[in-house]
Amino acid sequence: MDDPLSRALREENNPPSSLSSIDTNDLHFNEKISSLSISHSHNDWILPSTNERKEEVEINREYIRICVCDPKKHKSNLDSYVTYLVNTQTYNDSVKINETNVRRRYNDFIWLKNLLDMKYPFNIISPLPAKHTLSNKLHVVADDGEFIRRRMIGLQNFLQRIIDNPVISIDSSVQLFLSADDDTLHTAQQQQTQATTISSVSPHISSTNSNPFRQPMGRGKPIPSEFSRTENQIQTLQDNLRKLERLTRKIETDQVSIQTEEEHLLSTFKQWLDIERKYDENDSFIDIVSSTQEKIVENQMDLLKYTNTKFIEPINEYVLFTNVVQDVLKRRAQLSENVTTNNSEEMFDQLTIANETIKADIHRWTELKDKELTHLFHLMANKKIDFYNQSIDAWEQAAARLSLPNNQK
Amino acid sequence: MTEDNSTLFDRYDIQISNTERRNSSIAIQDCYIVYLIECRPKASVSNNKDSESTCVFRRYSDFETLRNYLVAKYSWVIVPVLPEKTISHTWSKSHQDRTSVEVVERRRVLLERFLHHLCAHPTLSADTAVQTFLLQNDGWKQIVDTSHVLNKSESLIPSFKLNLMQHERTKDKRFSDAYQYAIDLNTVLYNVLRARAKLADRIFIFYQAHNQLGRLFSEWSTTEDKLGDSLQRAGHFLDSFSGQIEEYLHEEDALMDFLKHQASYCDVIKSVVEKHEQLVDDNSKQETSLGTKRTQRDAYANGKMNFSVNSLKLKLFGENEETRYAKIEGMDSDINDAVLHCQNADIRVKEFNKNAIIELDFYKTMKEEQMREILRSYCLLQARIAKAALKSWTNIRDSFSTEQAPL
Repeated sequence: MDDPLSRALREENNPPSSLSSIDTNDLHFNEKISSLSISHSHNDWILPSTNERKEEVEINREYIRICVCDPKKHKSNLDSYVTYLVNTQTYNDSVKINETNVRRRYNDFIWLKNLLDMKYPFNIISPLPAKHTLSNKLHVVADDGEFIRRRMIGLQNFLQRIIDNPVISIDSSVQLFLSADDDTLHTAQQQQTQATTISSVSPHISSTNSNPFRQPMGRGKPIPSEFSRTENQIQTLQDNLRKLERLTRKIETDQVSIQTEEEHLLSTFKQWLDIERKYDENDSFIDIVSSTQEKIVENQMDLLKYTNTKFIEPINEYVLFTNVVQDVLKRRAQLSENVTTNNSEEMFDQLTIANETIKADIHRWTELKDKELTHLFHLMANKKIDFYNQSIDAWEQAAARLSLPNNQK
Repeated sequence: MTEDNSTLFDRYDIQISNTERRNSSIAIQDCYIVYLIECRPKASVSNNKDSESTCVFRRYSDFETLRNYLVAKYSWVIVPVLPEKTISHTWSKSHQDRTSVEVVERRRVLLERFLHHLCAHPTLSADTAVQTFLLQNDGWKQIVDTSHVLNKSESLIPSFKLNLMQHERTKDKRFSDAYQYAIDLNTVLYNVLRARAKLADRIFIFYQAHNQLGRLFSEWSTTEDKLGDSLQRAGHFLDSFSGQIEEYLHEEDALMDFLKHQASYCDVIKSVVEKHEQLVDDNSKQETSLGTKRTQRDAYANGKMNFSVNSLKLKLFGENEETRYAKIEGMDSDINDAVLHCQNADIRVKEFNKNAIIELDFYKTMKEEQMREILRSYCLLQARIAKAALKSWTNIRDSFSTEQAPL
């Protein structure tokens, strides 16, 4: 199903855990078949010309949609944790042909992420939402429910991006994760842990252990200019995203102070209303303005919430995503360095594969990034448009009511 | 002058069409602003005998003199207020880099409003001084000077203010309510003004931040391939978004000036109520003095002596029947005078109260109408601000629409 080189690379650290996943059910079997059609494109894609690959994607009408939802709390004596329903729907020409439902906890996601990171050191694996850290809890999210809601969005993005990657999506562990029952998954996880210990002991190939790649790469070694350009691009992108995140957070703070002042203004309007009422004056004019202001305050609250979860968080996530890309590039640089020092034939082949894998993945990632960022800005602007439309309506209605003569109590 | 029921406001379009800077004749560096008041007869009023428009120049101090005169002459009337000399309750940007031209403009608008209110008032617009002030170049000052009301009122004010300190509030509920309402409304209006000024500050900062965002987008666009175009366009629209607010906020300032103008009416109401209190107070004082005079006379007539120095003297030197009668007579005429005085004062108080209550009702209608108008303009302005923002954000969204993700 794969070309021999990549299979060889993979089997280095791929214990026969995939066997255990085959015997699950026919739902799973369907999944296998559907993924086969993707693997076709994979063959062409390993050494691709960009145009050909694009066509491939367009021809392949099958797509998978993932939904992470329905969090449930579990409490045992030792542990308390939350599981999420992972719903996978496979469509062919917009006809649903398959659906699976499993429950997974955050730790399972970590397992999958680590596994994929290890198996595919030269592919870009989407980052997971951040861990439940204290600072996170204090500054970003006030309550538990909100935290879980945000985490679900992050987890869903993670899975969807994995599924959208033609190489990673067909990996047995992904399929296992999406469809296997709990016991099967746990067995696989245990086997995986053993396998990792074994392979990390064997000194044969350094790609099994991600640690060496995190080290700063050697200087003065020749890097293909192509990759140094990419590295620069990613760095610039990351800088810009960081700036964007900072600015949007600043704007959010400004917006929060506007909200505070709007509320204050509203309270003075209400005072005014009270006074007109107390002295039995006609209060309709201030009543209208006061209730309109109240509406505005509510809408603004909604906008603020949206901005925080649907705009700032994704930007922050993208900063993390660029980190992943940088890590992959660093690993490649490390490998390239090893090749020049050891001058071994075998490693040279590895490097070629790695280079091509990265090139293709970065290409895909860049397209995905353009699409997702465009989408992100588009949605944010849409939300603003909604907000301003509501404001226009509210104020114009108020003005119309105020111009009515004899608007008596 | 025409003697019908219509006010000047019904008959004329009144506006302050221009302002001019003039140098004072004494010192060159001293300059002042004159306001050109233009009165055009309304075409709709057919029996307008003076169909010519008139133009007169007036200084701010002229407005002040006229107003002081009116306040003194019509003590029961809620005389429209002039704009303050200093501008308060503003947000940081409304003052900055604003030339005196803009301050003059703000004052012009409020002076025009003052004239409109003045002319819409049945009593005030019928005053000859007001009509001359508006329609004739000279002459209004003479009317004001010869009336002598100004000097009288000025001498009244200090003693009256002192009076208030130990004086308790009026028993008349209509007046006490109006007084309390004026205080409450004043407080709340100033709270509104303060809150809006703070809000304007925040909104300005918020819009400014979008300028930075626009710059970031423009810079970023140069390093992006496919996204570049969208980013650049969005950056441009973000820029224009951030630039649009200042003008609107200045427009909002003008509306807030109107609101503040309304708030200053509260002081006028308060002073009318205080005048009412003063009259009632005077009246009751005279009644008490009449009472004492009466008891003194009765005591004297009945021969009951009290232990004053005077009575002691009389006792010592013996009483003359004739002087006694003359004295009682004198006292009687004194009492009669006082009775007459009291009756007059009573009539004056009643008259004042009647008129003042009519005035308060007139103010209520005026206030409601004004507030409605101001708040309506405020709502419309908010809608316009939102519309401008909507346009910007629609453009920004459309910048990102070319390559929309299917979802």
